[in-house]
Amino acid sequence: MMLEINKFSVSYGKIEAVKSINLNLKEKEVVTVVGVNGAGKSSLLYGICGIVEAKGMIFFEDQDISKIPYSKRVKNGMILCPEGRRIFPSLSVEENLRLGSFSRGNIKKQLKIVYELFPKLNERKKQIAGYLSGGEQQMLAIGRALMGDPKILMLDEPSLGLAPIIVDQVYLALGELKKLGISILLIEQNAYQALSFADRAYILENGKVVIEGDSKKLLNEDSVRKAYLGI
Amino acid sequence: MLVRILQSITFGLFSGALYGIIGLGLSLIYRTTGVMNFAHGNSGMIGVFVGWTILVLTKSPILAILVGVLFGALLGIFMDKILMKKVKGLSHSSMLIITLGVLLIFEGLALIIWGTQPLLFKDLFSIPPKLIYLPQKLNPDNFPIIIPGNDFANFLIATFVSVLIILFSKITKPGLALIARAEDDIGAKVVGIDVNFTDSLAWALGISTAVFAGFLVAPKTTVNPIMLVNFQLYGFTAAVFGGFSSFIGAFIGGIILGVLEKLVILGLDQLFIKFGISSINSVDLQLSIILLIIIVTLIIKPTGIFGAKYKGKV
Repeated sequence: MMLEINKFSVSYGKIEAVKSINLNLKEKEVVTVVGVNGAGKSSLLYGICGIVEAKGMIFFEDQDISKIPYSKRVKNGMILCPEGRRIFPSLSVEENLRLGSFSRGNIKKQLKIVYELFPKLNERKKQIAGYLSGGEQQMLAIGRALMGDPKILMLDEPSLGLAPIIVDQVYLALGELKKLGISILLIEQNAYQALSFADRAYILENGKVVIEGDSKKLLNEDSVRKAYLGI
Repeated sequence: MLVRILQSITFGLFSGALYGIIGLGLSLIYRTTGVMNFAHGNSGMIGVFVGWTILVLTKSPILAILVGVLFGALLGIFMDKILMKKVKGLSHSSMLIITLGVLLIFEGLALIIWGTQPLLFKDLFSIPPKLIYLPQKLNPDNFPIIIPGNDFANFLIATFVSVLIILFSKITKPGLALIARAEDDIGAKVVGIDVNFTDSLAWALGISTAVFAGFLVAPKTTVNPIMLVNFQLYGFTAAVFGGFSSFIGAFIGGIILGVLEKLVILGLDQLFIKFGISSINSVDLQLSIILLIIIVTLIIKPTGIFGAKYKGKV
């Protein structure tokens, strides 16, 4: 098992954002967690990465990592592409990417992969990242995550704030990553996109998993369609 | 007149490098951790006092400076790890208030331990001043441009140390981590940078440069509890002037500030002479001039003369 979390909770003071969740992800699998605003999706990812404190067990490649700090988790190959992109705005595109290999990943090899996947980043490598368009910044954020040669790539709402045509481009790129055999944990509000893309899905509501299963099946289930897809 | 202008520029460069190195330290801490360190000058002052004590005990100025600077680094780590621990990431204003508290505590501590008597810190070296005469055509009165040897040495040392720190931030791995953390904390975390480490590093580097600058000015100001209070303001202005967005900007901001200050003083001098005002000595207006420069910069170009490369959210 690539990733397995048991009875996993994240709280901020008295507010429990994630309530005792179980979730797993096999090698080369794409799993998505969907849910509305405030369902606890981002907290779940931050908790898995160790950026916020969490209770419960996390196994990464069958090793218990719940006690090790985030910097070590990155070193082990758990890499997050955070919500809101969080690129380094006044550095150039290439400087951003190089920092992606700070803890792991061969700069030369990963740069080649990233530039092949996102030729636009290659064209703009000398540009200041903060001046890129929203879609380009998202590609840069994904590129930076790839620079760390992830074993598991966690993406937090990669379609947030992007035009539909750009969202399609982002998902095309994610499809390429899937082909490369990277395990992906994808978090989305855009349930239709995410369910169509993933192998398996968890639906989160108020910090709890309410439904889980094969994402294509969920996509065709009436109750899910009504509640989460608005169709 | 040309000689006087060149003379002002020379003096300006010399004091500007000192403003620059203090501005660089402030900028390191501010950009990385988001705290304007009001205790910067006084932290440097405490370090110089510690160094002075070592000097008295061992008679070795090199050892004194080394211990003082190392003490500064430890003090920085202490500020980050102990004083800021509870409020870090919660509120920038609380962190600011803590630095204000530290400012007062350090001043009091210095008074209690070392007293109010200014203590002498001898020049590390004594280099004779150099006189430069411009050709007769440009210089009808045959006045020399004076280059004080020690000031020139201080200028070179301050510039060298600042360049070293700037290179450190551009080339080395911990330096790059510092930049990344300054740019975006979550961004830094997700590439595996330990931000607790970078914060301590910024504090340690910042305070130790303040101590170092303190040693450079100590022969002139003497060692006393308020020796760096004004310098902190100058350093702050340098950083505002250079636009906090880059470390190199803070240093160059300091240099420009120094030159500007001396030129304004020269200009005022001429005005006072012209209008026969003898009650004001323009050198006494140094602090006012610097404060005016902060205000004017903030009104005209709040991002500093170099501007931010990218205008992000504030």
